This record gives sequence, structure tokens and C-alpha cells, in this order.
Amino acid sequence: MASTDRPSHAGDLIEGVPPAPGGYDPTSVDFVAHPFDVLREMREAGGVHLYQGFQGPRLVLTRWEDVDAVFRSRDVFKDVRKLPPGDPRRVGVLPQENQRPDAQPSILGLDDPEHGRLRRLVNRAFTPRAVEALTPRIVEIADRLLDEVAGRDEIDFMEAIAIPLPVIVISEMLGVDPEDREQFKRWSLTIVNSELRPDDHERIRAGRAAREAMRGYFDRVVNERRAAPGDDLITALVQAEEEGDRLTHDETLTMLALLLNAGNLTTTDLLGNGLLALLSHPEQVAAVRERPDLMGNAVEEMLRYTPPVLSTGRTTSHPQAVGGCPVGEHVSVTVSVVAANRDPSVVADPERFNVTREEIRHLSFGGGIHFCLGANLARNEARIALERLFERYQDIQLAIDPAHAEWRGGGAFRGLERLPLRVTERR
Amino acid sequence: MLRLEVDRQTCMSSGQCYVVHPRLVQPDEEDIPVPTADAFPEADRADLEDVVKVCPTGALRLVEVDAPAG
Repeated sequence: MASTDRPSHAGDLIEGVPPAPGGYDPTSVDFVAHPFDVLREMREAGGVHLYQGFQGPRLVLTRWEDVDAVFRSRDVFKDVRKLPPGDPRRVGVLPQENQRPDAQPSILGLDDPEHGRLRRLVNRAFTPRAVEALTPRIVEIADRLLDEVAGRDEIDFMEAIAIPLPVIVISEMLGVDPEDREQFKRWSLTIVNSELRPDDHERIRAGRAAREAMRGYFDRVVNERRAAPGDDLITALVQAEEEGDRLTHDETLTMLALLLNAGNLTTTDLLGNGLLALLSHPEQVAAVRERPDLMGNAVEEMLRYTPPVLSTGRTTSHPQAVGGCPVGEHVSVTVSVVAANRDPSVVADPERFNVTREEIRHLSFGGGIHFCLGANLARNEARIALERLFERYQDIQLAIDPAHAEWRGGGAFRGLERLPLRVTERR
Repeated sequence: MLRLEVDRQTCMSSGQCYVVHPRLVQPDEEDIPVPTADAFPEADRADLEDVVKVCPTGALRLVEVDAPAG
């Protein structure tokens, strides 16, 4: 029982919110591999549950209406520094050992106005127009990656395309050497893995070391660019830094690490998850073969049906109703994007993967002020990569049983370790 | 007639509105959407509602106007 002197977030949760079923365990690989049935069960049972996480209780929302409302709400926050001293959640999803005590949160962990000030500095590089201008270069990169596996009749799509393409694109946008991408990938994965289990100290130490190494790397590049400006995002941030109080050096490094990480794994997983879904539905493959102009729509359906980010979170600023339940201040809320995307009250026939669906709605890029900065870029990269893949091969088959696909880790990210394909090049 | 209002302070230039219906909104030099007409006919209502709905920050608003503009 919660006593009155417990932190408010525990005591103020209303009586009567049912506990999440045992199958809801975001830290387990099983849940990540097969999240759909348990989330449907939760949505159908009212859509509001209580989950006991590592850092205390969390309200879990699975209905579209509730998830969307939290995204757009101005009565919730992300900056954990707003929590009272001693609250275990002040360290965010990361335990203390994982970060420096003075670590500056990235825009993911800030609220307006700080969030808005920093985001505006990078927004312009990711607008639809800016991203459209990258199209010819993305086509070139995709084709070159496909050239590297030419002549083979079996490829791992993750290794060949899904992993390298996004990191090459974001490296070029930032202005770092794409040849260092093996290093970036190792850092990104180590950091993501370190966030899965706050009780796994070995992973946590590795995560912190990776963060520091990445920071050191960017520190060097920023100084190089200060001496010799280029036409890239690092130069743009350096110039903003030099214009005075708009951006500190620490904020620059945090932003660069975020852009490199966020522009990396999520697009990789959109590509992997999306292609697995497509190839698991031969009639849908036939549809995009017949109408290649459907690929953009197919990517939206992939985002809806098999999103790379399963859920995200917010904390209530003051007592309010969340998902129809009155809750107190500082209540942790998990919003399940993957559950909302299959809510039949918004999406007709939601369990069906259908690339010809009209007016596809999903919350896979989030919403509100934190709406994914890279949404337009991710869409463009995924569409181009899949178009070039289908252009290159006249036949593409899964070389694995989709029921036994190898899913990576646990946590909010859902992606494949490998996606082996049997391919036949066009003659 | 219908008018599309843009709150420039709330807009975060995600560009979702002009991606979904470029006929109705276009970005200005700051990548903030500008409606392509002062007022739109009733026939555009469904598309205009789409534009409002896709905005992640709720920066767009549809307003009924009496007099047919320009």
C-alpha cells in the first residue's frame, strides 16, 4: 500500500486502474518481438493500466485518443530536472553512472522554451524542402550500397542497406566522415543497450564510455570546423555558437550526439521492420511491383503497422485527468504508439497490413512539440531505399521464417538483428 | 467560406501540412505555412480539416468567414 509520505507519483495514482497484464514487459525481448496481442488486450480492456517499472509505477495508455492527447498536452513535461531532488526518475531513463552529473539534456529531454530555442537551430535542415533536395544523393548512396552486394543471391538487408544508409546520410548532413560509421554504429548500439536495464552495471559503464567517446569525437570535429567552415550542420551550429548566447559548446555536442544517434537506429529499424512486413505479405509485394509509385504510401503503412519506436513517455506537471483517470502531479505516463496505431476507432481493419490504404494515420513520429525532427528525412530515405531495392532485384524473398525473425534487445526500440533475403537481380 | 489561420508562435515547421495538401498551404521563407488563398470554398473543407489534423502542434485553425474574400 502507498503511504502518504511516499513520493506523490505513487500515492496519487487513482485506485481502480488495473495492473498491466504479465505479458506487458517492455524490458523483455519477447514483448518487443510480439507486442501486438497484449497491447490489443490492454486497449480493449479500457486502455489505461498501471505498470511497475524500474523507477516506480507508470500509467500505460494504449488508445489513440489518449496517446494523441498526451502528445499535444501542455500539462506534461519531459525535463526530469523538474522532479523533486531524490526522485529516482530525475536521472531519466538512464541511471546515474551512465551520465555526467552536469549532463545537458538533449532536446528530447527538454521542454519549451529551452527545447524550442535549440530545435529551431536545426529545424531548417529537416524541412520537407531541405530533405527533398537530398533525394539525388540518397539515390546515389542506395545504389552504391546495392553495387557492393552485386552478384550475390543472398544478402542481409540490415547489413547491406538498413544499417549503413541512414548513418551515411546523417554523417554527410552533419559533416562528419561517413568512413567512421562503424564507430558511430558501435557507439549508438552501446548507448541504446545501456538504457535497457538500469540494473545491468556492465552495460551502463559501457554506455557511459561510448557517450564520452562520442562527445570527444564531436569536440574534435567542432574545433576543426571552427577553423575551416563547411556547408554542413556542424558548421551551422558552430556559427550559432559564435553568435553569442544562442548555443553553448556543451549544447552543440549534445545536439550532435542526438542527431547522429536518432538519425541512425530508428531509420534502420523502419527499413528492416517495414521490409519484413512487406515481404511477409506477398499480395502487398505484388501491389508495389505493379505500381512502384505506391512505395511512399507503403512506407506510411510500415510506420503505422510496425513502428521502430514502440512507446515514449511524459510526466504530469500537476493534477489532471490522463486517459480519463484523475491523477496527481509527477505521474509517469507511457504512451504506446504501437497500440494507438492499431486502434480500430481511428484505423479501419487495423491488424491488416495494406499498402494501398488511403489517408494512413499513425503516431509513429509522436506529436506535439517533440514531433520527430527527422520525420521527413526518414520517410524519404525509406522510400528511396526500398524503391532502389525493388528496382535492382526482380525477385526478393525472405530467407527466414518471419515468425522466427531475430529481434534486437528490449525497451522502446523495436528492430531486427538480421534480415536475410534471397534475391534475383534483373537481367 | 473557410479561412485557415496559422499561429506562427506555435508552428514548429515540421512541414506536415504542406506535405499533405500543398495546394492549400505553402511554406514561406521561414518554413512556416501560408495558406494559398485568403479564403477557401466549402468544397475544400475535408482537405482543410486534414491540414489542421496533421499539424503536430495544433498551430492551424479553420475559421468560418461570411463574406467571400478576394
